[in-house]
Amino acid sequence: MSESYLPIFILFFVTLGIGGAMLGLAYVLGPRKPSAIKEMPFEFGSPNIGTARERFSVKYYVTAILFLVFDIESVFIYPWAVLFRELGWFGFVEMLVFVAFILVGLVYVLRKGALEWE
Amino acid sequence: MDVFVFYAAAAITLLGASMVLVLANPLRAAMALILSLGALSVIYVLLHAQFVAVMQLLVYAGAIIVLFVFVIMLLNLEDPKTRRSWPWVAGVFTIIGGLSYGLARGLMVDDNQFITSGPPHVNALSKDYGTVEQVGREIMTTFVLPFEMLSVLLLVAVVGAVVISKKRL
Amino acid sequence: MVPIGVPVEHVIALAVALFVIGVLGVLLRKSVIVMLMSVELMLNAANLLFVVFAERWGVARGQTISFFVMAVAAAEAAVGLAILIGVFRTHNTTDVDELRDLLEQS
Repeated sequence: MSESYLPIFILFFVTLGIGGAMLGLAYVLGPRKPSAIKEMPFEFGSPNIGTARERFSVKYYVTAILFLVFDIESVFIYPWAVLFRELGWFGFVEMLVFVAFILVGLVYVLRKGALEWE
Repeated sequence: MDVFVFYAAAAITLLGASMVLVLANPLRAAMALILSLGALSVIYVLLHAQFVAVMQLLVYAGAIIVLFVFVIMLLNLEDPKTRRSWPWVAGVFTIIGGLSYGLARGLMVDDNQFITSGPPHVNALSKDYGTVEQVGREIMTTFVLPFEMLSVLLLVAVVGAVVISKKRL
Repeated sequence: MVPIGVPVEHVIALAVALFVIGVLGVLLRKSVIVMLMSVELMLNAANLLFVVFAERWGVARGQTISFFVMAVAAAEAAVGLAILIGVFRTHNTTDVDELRDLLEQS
């Protein structure tokens, strides 16, 4: 059974190997002349503003919720798409109702202005 | 081979879950949860539930953990000062080990009703067992009503989350 | 295809261990976020049982149910974390020992 997953295992270890080799070889072979400016985290060339541990705005949470909901939706749309011909119009209407309910949620969020950036 | 992979994945699952229980930093606990759920998806593959395994990764690692990490960043929780005491940890894992071992032993008794009753265990699975077609057909035909109710549940979750988390309405 | 050659008791023991870890996480941890993570662990233990018994019975229905469990887990996490954000805004803490408003006047 797990023999048929051998390609995935190989892919996993090749990915791990390439990533590890890149970091490891750079660590072993690359010259290191550290200075205060080089040690700074790179943002976009200008001096850093604050730390990464800054508190984020709650506005992002609504975006994350919407992502979660559409993620779940995609979980159910995928088998529906596979079975689309077999299910016919019944499946079409079924998914239409499903998407319509979730669309109501999206419209609600948009009307509330929860996705607007100030 | 399958059996070996199963026990390895089970060990990683329990390791990750234990780290969720023990690690003080919530962000590290979230990463440990990904480890645990990822190893669990390997077990799903071994149990011929390929589609469930893929969706487990997609939903948990892709969405739910992202939500947890988002909230940890939103609240900017500092590391708690308290340190775990090792007798505490040892006591907790004694409870876990005792309960799971006890139940497993109890189930292995031959005249146990829980195992002997019910349909007989099959020796062969159908060829399309656990595929997208088979599971999807059940969701889309037998479970039409729960499927539609699920969209209502997601709608309620969106509206509820926006109402509760938004400062002014 | 044949079912995996692992005794079903061992899989049940794994699910029980996961569930017990989840219960202990809810009971012992003080951070609400980690408590919610522990709830996810418990839901996963239930999912594991659904999947393993589906395999032993040779019927895929348990796998179907596990999808609904997953979606419910997602909805639960979304609303639970939103409540946590609301509580954090008024109390400025996620420590359950300090959230005592329903228990007594603070």
